[in-house]
Amino acid sequence: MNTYAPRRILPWFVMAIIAFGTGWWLRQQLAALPVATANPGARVTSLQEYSPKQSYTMALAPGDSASPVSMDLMQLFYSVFKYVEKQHVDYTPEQAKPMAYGAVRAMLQSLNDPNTRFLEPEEARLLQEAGKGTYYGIGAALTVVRKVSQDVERRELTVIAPLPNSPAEKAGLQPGDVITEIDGRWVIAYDPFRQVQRSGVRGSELVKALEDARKRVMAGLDLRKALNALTNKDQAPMTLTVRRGNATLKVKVTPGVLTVEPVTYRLMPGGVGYLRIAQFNTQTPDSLKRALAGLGNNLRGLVIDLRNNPGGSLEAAAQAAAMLVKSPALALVETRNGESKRRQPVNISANPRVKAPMVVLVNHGTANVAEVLAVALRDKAEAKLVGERTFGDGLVQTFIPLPDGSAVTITTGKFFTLSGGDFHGKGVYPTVAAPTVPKQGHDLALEKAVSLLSQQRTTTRA
Amino acid sequence: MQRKRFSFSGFIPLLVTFAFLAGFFYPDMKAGGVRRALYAAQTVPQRVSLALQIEQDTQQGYLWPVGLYWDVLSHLRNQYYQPVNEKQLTYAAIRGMLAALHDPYTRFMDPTEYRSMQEDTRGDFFGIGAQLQEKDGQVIIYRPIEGSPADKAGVKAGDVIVEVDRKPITGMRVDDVVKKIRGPRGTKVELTIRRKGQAKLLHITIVRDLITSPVAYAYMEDEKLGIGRVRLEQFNEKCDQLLVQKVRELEAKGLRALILDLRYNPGGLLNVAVDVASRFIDNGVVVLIQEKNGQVTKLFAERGRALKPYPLVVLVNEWSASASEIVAGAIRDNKRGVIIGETTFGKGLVQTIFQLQDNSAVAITTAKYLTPSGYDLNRKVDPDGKEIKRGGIQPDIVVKQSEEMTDIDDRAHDVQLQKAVEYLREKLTAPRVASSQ
Repeated sequence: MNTYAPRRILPWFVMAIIAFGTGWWLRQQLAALPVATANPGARVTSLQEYSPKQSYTMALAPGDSASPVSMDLMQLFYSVFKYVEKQHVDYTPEQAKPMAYGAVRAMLQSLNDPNTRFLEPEEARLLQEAGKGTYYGIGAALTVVRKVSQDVERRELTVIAPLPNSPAEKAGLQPGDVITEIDGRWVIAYDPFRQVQRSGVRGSELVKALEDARKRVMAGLDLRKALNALTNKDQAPMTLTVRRGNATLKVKVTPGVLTVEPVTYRLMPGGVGYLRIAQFNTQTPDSLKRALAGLGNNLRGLVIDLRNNPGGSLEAAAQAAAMLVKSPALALVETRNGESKRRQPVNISANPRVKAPMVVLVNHGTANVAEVLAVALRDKAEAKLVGERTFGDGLVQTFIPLPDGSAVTITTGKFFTLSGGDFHGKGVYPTVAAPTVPKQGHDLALEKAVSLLSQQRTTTRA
Repeated sequence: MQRKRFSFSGFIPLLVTFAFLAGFFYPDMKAGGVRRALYAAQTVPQRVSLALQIEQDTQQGYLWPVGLYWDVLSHLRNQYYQPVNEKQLTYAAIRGMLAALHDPYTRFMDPTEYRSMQEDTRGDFFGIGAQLQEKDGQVIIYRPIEGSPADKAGVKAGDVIVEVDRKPITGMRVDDVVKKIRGPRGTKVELTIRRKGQAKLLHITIVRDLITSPVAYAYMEDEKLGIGRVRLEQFNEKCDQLLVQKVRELEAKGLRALILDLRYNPGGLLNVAVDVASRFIDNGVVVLIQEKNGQVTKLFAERGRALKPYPLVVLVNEWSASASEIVAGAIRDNKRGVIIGETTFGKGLVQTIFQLQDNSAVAITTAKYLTPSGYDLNRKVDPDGKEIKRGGIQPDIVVKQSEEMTDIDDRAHDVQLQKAVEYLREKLTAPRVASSQ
């Protein structure tokens, strides 16, 4: 038997190994399915394939990507929905959609991150159009800025930048303006009840304050409604109440449809080129390529105007950077990896066409990937930054479309400069400060930039 | 040798199966040891059945809330830049999903909230003995239970709670306020209260105690004519028996006409409402229950339980809800008595509580009450909180309560009670006039 046995056992042994392997493989297949490929890239552009079945397979496969707890949570949510569907006296199938939207909206709201939000199909469509350069409504890049003061959290609807030739620009809106009212209706920026609580008023004053707070909320617009009002092209002319610094002003805007020309250029006297990048959308790289060709190879200097550039797609910015700066990477993006964080470079295949010295114009409306590019030009192409401190939006949002046309944008990462600098909430300071709002027809920042370029030329010659 | 070979080859397929399973659960073992692997293995049937169930649902069309929830949760888990608490996200999603139904009674309770609710229904808890109600974003004392610490300390129905222990509660949900008020026996809680007609806020300190179930109360309003009143505070199990007991007490004093006082009664158990209505209606429908599929079930009065057919007035106000409204509606529609007071609260929905896997629970509105004539008494509001339909039981004789009334026992100012007594006096004396003519 001793000599006989191994030969008999061997096939079974091989089979056992194969079985083990098959089990392991099957498990990997099941576990691998639901893991969406993390794309720590494009703000507003990374589209992900969707297939509803992949999600449910997760229930079969507990593991690292889907812990047993998650399956229990899935079941919890599923049971509640089934109870409502089967038992609720007024339930109709038409309510499934609003319930789905309500669930996802509340789930994202509970993260308390104004940039992580749910977009209904129409809102999602508008955002995608904006990514291609078409804006509806007042034509300004808007964001929600979260501030906490005296325990009261404020969420202010803030203008990042008005786009060139937009109704917002014509009306005189400026970067950093906080929109507090639309046609006299308060844009609800904080919980007024909480503010009353903290204010410490007592007695009949408290009663009165609470009454007022209730009336304000009832009459106000929540952020979603406010954003919808500002991005609707069919809206009648409206009056915005705007807080700028300590001043409050009223601005009349006539909404419309606006297509942004992403890059414009001209040759200035003395062989200095002027290049304005208004935003980073899908058209920007091609537009930039044409502009650089149009400016020619004999430039003595180049001014890159990133003022009022609210950012846009990281992919577009990376392609633009490849034409301007000799660097293996544009910036670092920090993402979460399980419980820890990791920083990865945004690689670019650099092939700069510009040999001339550069100056970059920035202002408070320069945000997100525009800030990233400005820093890369400063650190890797020795460009001076002229103007004022930038907006300070360093979060990476990913736009994820959902099967019915709705979408979510979620914060998936944070930008760091190649040297590890964090500009989120702080902004980037200019190398040379200059006022960026034209005075009496003089663009002082541009004049400063041109004079810096000619100085540089002189120094090089000397 | 034959025997050995036989057993050996029988063992082999087992070994292969075991190898397969070991391979399948290897990731769990690596992640959390044998225990985790065993847990994962144990839950396989559950997982498979859930997946199949969902698969089946999906084939009938996109399973909206579940699919979207799961998609977004997966994205957050994998991509959000900070760690997320999936359980809290799920609770938030469930609450958001239920809120989209615009039905304030369909709600999710996390394990803590659910436990607190169970304590409520059992009745043994330490509190101040007052029922709270949310109305228009305010937390209001529905009714202090007679003889309870709240009652002794002078808390009154309709008082608005502004602070608990000097901490404002505005914007908080009733459940959370209740949690703040409850505590160990013998400890103190201070309420800041806004009372109708008083400019200053009141600060009332109450000692927490064991709260026992409320009861019924009997009063003789007119001894000469024999007009008695029975007040029911809520519809709990003892209610029907106590009603009979109180009526017997009044009968001993010469009862000839009865006032059933359901003011500030927030309701309670449905079967008790039917029992109570059966004391007044000998033969007839008490309430219609309309279920999801539109199917209507008639609940009839139980025969042979009715009290003597005394002339009857039912007193109601805007805080009479649910079971109170069923009783008032049954008496009105069966023409058994006259309703006096103010339009009632308008809660004509039945909730069923479903316990969930993790000891949380969901209360779902599973049916509607209609009065015997088919009237849907539920108050309806639109998504923005504006009233679409007032609902409630409209009294036959509307009497607004006097602003000066301070307490439910303040008879000098209780114009609703006065009207009820006056009505019954006329009723008791009128036939005599008629016969003398």
